[in-house]
Amino acid sequence: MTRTRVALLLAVIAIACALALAARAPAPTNEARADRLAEELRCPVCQGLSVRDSPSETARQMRELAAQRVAEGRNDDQIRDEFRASYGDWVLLAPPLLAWSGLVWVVPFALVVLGFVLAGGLLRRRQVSEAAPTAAQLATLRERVANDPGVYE
Amino acid sequence: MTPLAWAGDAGAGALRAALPLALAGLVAAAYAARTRDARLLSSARWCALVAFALVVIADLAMVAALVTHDFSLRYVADNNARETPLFYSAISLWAALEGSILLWAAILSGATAYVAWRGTRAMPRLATTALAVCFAMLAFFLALVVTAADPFTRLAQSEIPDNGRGPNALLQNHPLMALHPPLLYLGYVLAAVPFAYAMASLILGEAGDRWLVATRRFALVSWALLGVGIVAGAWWSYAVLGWGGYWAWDPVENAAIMPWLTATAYLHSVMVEEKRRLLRMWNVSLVIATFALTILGTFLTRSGVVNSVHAFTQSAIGPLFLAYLTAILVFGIGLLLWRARSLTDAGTIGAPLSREAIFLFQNVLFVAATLTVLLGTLYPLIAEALTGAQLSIGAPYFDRVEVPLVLALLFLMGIGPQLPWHGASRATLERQLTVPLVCAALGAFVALLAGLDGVAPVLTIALASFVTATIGQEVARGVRARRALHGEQTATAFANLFLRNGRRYGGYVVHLGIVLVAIAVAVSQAKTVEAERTLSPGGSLVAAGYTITLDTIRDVNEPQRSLTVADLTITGNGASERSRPALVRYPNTLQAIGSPGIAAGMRDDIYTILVAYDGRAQTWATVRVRVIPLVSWLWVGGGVVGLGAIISALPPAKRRARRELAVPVPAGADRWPA
Repeated sequence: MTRTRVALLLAVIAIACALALAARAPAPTNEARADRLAEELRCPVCQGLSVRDSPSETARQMRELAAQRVAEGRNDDQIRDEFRASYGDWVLLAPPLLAWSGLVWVVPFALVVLGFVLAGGLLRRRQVSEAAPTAAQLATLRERVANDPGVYE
Repeated sequence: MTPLAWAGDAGAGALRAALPLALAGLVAAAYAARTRDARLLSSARWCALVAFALVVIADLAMVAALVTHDFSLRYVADNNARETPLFYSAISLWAALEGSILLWAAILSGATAYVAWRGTRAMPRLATTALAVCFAMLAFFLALVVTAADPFTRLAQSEIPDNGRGPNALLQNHPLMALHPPLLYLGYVLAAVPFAYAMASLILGEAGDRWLVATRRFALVSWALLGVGIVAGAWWSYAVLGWGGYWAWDPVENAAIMPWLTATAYLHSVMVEEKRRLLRMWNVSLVIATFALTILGTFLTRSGVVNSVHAFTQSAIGPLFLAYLTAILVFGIGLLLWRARSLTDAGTIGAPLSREAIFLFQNVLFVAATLTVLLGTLYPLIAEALTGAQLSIGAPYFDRVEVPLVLALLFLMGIGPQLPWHGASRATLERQLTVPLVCAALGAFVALLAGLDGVAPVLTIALASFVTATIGQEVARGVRARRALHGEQTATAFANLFLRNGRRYGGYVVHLGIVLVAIAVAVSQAKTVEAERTLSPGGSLVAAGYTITLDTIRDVNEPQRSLTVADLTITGNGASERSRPALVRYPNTLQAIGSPGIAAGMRDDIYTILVAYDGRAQTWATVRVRVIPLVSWLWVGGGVVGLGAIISALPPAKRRARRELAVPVPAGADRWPA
């Protein structure tokens, strides 16, 4: 194994360790949980903002309710369901995965996969069509490089 | 009577004269392209120039009517008041729909005149055909401003108010309003020029890539203005809306980011076409998509189909824009399919470890990101139309879906420039990536030590270090090469890299700007600390080591508004600043508007909001504080992106000669009879 390979390998391992450390999140405090729930709820008054960001009175009450429910020991899904029951699906800023609206979660990843499959097609067909450059083409290229000292690429 | 009462009539007249000129120009340019008749081209040129002058006159007339408070015009009565300061009166040109379209028409007529006078010199036939397309688009906008969105509509004598309603409160609260909308409009409108050239190329059935060479700079400038306009909008939102954020995945923000994403994809894939003559149909598709998305953005903003902070006005203009959008898509896609055979690529990309392959992957990710934003924006509309169910798609969805795509793009941003065209060996790649990957590991640990947690933020910092290291490595290599080849000093060699090969090294500057934006977003999202407390004067609260003390609560009266201001003193972490969040009341708005106090810094912004106060005795105020780290670097990053775009767009004379060498015009292919 060359020195380059060793350095590369060590760097990749170090990055993986750092990410593992970063992922090892401590159990969220009640406050953090309430904040996250508030981020996922839509403010009914000001439309665009989440309950966490909205300065409105309604949003403040909803924040307090979320904090209270967290303190009572309910889990996130129960609290979300309670808000859904009072305001409708509309109140959730991210549509639930296990409903037909869950489709919106699948589509982006399906798009990426499809895109890479199509791109892969472009990469593979290569060998057939690509011929080695002719001597004339090479000469032109050499001349161009020679006449173009101002550009380094 | 106001001093310039005739301005409204002058503006209305100018627009009514410009519309037939645009139509005449359309006919003249179309025939000139067909018959190669130089006199017809000359007529088309003059139509473009005079139409441009007339639309500029109309814009100036509207500004004159606004600053002289001519309330006999409906637009002025609705968007201006006697108390509105001069500056905000003038920029109220784009405070509402009709004025915005008027500005849009001015920019489009300017671009049309540019194509007519400059574009047609280099490539007469192609540019003349593109000119006809420009005239068609201009005619649509001029038809709008003389019918459904006439900014110069007069009120009946009995309806003329003594005083107008004043501009929307949110639009007269911050000077950034002078910057954000015009930048976006410029970006939007200039995207029409590459579209026009692409269409012209398809109409003429040209086999070459001349349209792309002719519009490269337009595409770059349009993209840069759109990008800087988006950052300016984020800044405005941060400084005005008073919730401490800068991006809400609001439908109209989404509408602005979508064409920027496809334009970014295009700016990269275009290089594959230039170098390898590949992806030709794809590039035309991206140009069509970018332009169509700018129109979709306008449709979404102005039709009232979505609830948004930007839906300042709703009007009957929605269906017209929808028709225009449909026409563009039918025309664009129809032409593309008609000419598909002449756009087939000669070969395929081949090696997966080559720059062109990375551009291809990058394009896949950008298009997926765009379609995801589009889906998330339109899905609630579609769901409601189909099932009647109301649902929301907001930040929690977009964050989760877009962040992985952005991280993958950051990774490609580091790898792409390291790989040569036509492919590299694995050994080369390994050698080139060693130092950047070591930097990435260091970056990840620095992020951990600085207290970041969560995979996405730490990975962002790691990738940011990775990209920065690759750029540093590239620049160092360029400097070494210039020193060896030309015997230049290090500093000269460094400067010459940017001066002589601005397109490439300007691109790296853009990448650095994006890195700054990525770091600012990751850290500010992950580490914002928030606190809220009701204080009496003299009381204080603590957030992230800063102590915020309420000194006084006071009322301030200004001619156009009244404010209640909380005077705060911020100390701690070496800071000693004052901040004055306020609640602002405008006569035309029921609710008071929060105006945040922002103590900005290189490290932290201390963002304070006056939530509520005791209106009677002024004995208490509720203050919310957000300590937002590194957010200032977001605006700096936007500026760096703009700087990089300028470096890329300003090639020296030497490069111009080279470009002609790269794309030879076949003899007789585009000659005009003398």
